[in-house]
Amino acid sequence: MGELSSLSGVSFLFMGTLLGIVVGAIPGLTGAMLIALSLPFTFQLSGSHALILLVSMYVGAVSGGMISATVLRIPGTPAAMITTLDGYPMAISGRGKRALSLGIWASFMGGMVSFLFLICLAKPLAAASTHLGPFESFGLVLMALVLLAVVEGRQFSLGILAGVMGMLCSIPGMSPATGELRWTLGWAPMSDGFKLLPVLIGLFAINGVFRELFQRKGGAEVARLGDSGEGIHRRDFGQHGWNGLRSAVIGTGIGILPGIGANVGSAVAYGVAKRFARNPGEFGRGSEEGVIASESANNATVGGALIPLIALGIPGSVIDAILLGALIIHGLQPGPLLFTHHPAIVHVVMVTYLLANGVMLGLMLIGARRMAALGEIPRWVLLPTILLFCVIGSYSLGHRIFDVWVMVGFGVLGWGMERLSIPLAPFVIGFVLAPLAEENLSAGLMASGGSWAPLLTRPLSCLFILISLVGAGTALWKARRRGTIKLGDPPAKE
Amino acid sequence: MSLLWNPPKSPGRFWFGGQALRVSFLLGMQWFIAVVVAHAAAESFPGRPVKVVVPFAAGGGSDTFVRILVKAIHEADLSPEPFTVINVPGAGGTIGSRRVRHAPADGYTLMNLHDGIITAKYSGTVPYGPEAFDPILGTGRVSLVITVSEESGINDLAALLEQMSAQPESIRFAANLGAPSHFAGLLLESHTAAKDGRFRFVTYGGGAKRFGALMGGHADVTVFSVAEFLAFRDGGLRALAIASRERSVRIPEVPSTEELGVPFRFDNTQFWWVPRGTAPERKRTLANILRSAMEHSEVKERLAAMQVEPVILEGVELEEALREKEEAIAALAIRRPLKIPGLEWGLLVVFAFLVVWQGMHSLRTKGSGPPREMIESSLDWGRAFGASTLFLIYLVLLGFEQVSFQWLTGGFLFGLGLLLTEKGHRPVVGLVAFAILMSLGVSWVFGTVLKIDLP
Repeated sequence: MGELSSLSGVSFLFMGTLLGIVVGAIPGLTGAMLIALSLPFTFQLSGSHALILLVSMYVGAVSGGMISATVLRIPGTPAAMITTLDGYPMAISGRGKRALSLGIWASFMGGMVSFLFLICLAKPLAAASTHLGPFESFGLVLMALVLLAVVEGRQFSLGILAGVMGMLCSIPGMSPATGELRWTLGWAPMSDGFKLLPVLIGLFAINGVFRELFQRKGGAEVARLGDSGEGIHRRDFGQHGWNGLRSAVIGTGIGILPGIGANVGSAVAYGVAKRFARNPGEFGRGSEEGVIASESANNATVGGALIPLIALGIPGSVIDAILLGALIIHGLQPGPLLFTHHPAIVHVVMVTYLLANGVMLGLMLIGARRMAALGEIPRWVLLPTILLFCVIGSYSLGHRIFDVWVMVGFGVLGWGMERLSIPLAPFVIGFVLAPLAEENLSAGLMASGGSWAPLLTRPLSCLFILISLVGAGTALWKARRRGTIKLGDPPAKE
Repeated sequence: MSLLWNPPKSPGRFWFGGQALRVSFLLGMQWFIAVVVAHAAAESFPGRPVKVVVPFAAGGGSDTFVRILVKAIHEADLSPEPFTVINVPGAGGTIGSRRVRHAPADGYTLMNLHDGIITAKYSGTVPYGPEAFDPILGTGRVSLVITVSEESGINDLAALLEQMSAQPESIRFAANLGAPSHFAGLLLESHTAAKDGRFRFVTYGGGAKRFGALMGGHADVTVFSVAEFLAFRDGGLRALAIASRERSVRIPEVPSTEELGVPFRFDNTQFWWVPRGTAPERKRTLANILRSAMEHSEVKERLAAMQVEPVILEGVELEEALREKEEAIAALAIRRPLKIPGLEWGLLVVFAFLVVWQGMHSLRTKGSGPPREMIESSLDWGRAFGASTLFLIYLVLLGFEQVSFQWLTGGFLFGLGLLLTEKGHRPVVGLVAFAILMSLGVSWVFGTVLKIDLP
């Protein structure tokens, strides 16, 4: 614990958080990339210093993504995808600074709530999470899919169409369940399919840059932040507190489940917030609640994912898997006994998580005004720079030019989809969740010898499936009742 | 900004006036710097950095192992030129192995790939195996521990084998299908008395997922590396045996398969490969460097922490080990795993249905469709075409790797900047400075600091 009060400990904390925010804000570069590449640099450090640096990078990166998501409509990290839906509309309507402030406070709140779960309930929650078998996990993923099909749905059927397209795009490559190759067209580079990062960068960043490039007038929609004076007030905490809290709990819960990352956490929280919102029609058009739900949840997933990592040695996300490696390299045996054998290191991780959230809040609030400058940078600097980082980011993932072409391909696809008014978010969610659903259902079927019965005989999976059916049913029914297939309230006419 | 913003009076002056000189001077400087950076003397081997391909993601087990060695090579000055780690993850290591297979056999491309190189061949992911490469060294071995959950009711290896024989497919084996853990299970099946054992294989990715499966009672048995077992053993696990000749010093209470009378051995060794046909003296140089790195004290310490046995296999011993491993796996019959029926084509049908339905719907409700406020009429087709073409040319040239990254990127940034600014108001000096600073800065940060191998 002494490490955190030492000068070097504090400087690692600040450096990690700041680096995380910057890398998180740059489209194309992700926190996972930063942490993986920083790992060799930590060999020289002591175990606790290494963890201070890496955990604060993790916190910074997941928070920094909102900056470009809000100002440029390009998610800096996958976790910030949902923030683009409402953050950007807020920014172009002159409420950019408010969107950022709300997002920053929501991130902090998400971090705090999941910190509480982390210190109080790490052990029992982690143990409970292993009781979810493959069928239950499948039910859960199915439930998330149904909930999310309507996430940006001005039009229900277009949302479903986008989701199915996303699922289809996840098929090529190695089957997540059996390891067999499929739909590779006999072409070797395809044997790993499409990776999330190039797909996401393509859909949002490349598509966004090209939309800007193709526009006749210079920067018609560039967010104006500098002159949007409205910040946030004390009453906002009362007004939005419940939403932030609920989203944080959802984010923590989803963070605990292995393999389901921050992007899904924020999407589920967004979907739920929309369900409970007073006027859900505002979602996707600059809803403050949308920004809060997304940002609170994605920060909370970080704390959530640390729970199984610390308590059981099970990593909940890619970044956690790297942190697990860091523990091992520094001679700290992860697993159920980490608490007993190395209590100091557990406390360092927890306290770092707490402090990094605080540092993030401070740095981001101080920098909020500067972030406005992002929209003011001349386009001939901004757009080529983003494009360059996207190319490097996609390339460095696997040192393959193939990934860069995948990025370009999905950029074209994203551009075309938007021209046809097909929403992008359900596409990404389908793309992320389909392999998870497949893997879990396959594992379940293999364990049951091919019987589908446990889907309904196991109480939890039955419950999840019922909820999904009810959810899908009501959505359809609402759509029919309105006589159109539009979902969500029509834009206010007054 | 106002210093850089220096609009020429007329477009003509840009091409013929003083600014053209300034532009060519700056671009020329950039070219010069690029050439100097790229220049390298090629006298003795290694005369330039050696690329170490790790066919798995950064931060994983193989990557960590390699980076520990590479760091020792750097710190103990074991090689005149640096070893650069390049992660080429994907498809069970086959994306990376395919690249190394086609790399020039000049000793500058080295690959670290464990037993996955054999299992990828026999699971049908790729048509080649170890024979497509020259092995130069085997370093570091991880033995596998056959583990059950305490609640499985299986108390020893004999009981496991017996039950597998008596009631085939009654025991669920958690494995990463197509990867070494799967083959370990298949191999164990052939060690029952009547060679008729059958597990029921259930797909679970890495060690941590398999631990979760045992803990939650979703599987009965699996294999762990010694490190994984040590991490998880207090979560209600029981080790039946370690699949090797001798017991492990770290878990001396676990018997070896050999002493239990079951000749089942299975371990994972980190092998080092170069493209087939690499000159023998270069292979020797690389092997010497790696061996010295393995003997470095810090490496020994770190590997001990990771529970990796610091064995070194070389020459005949290495070939013998590889042959033995491949023979054991080649003899196995892989059963096709259970699949979700009709998943892919089902999705395709749903998609087709939705497209048709949507199409009909938009025909029916023509005119009341969603607003297209963002796009219509504001497209500048000339610039769109120019920018796309420029971007595509940039990517194609990057892919060919003939022009240096800095040079190409500088040109691309400059060209794009020209397209983005209005004729007659071009901040040419600013554009050039931006292009140079950005391309050099980016290649320094990524190439030198982060050690990413830029195209």
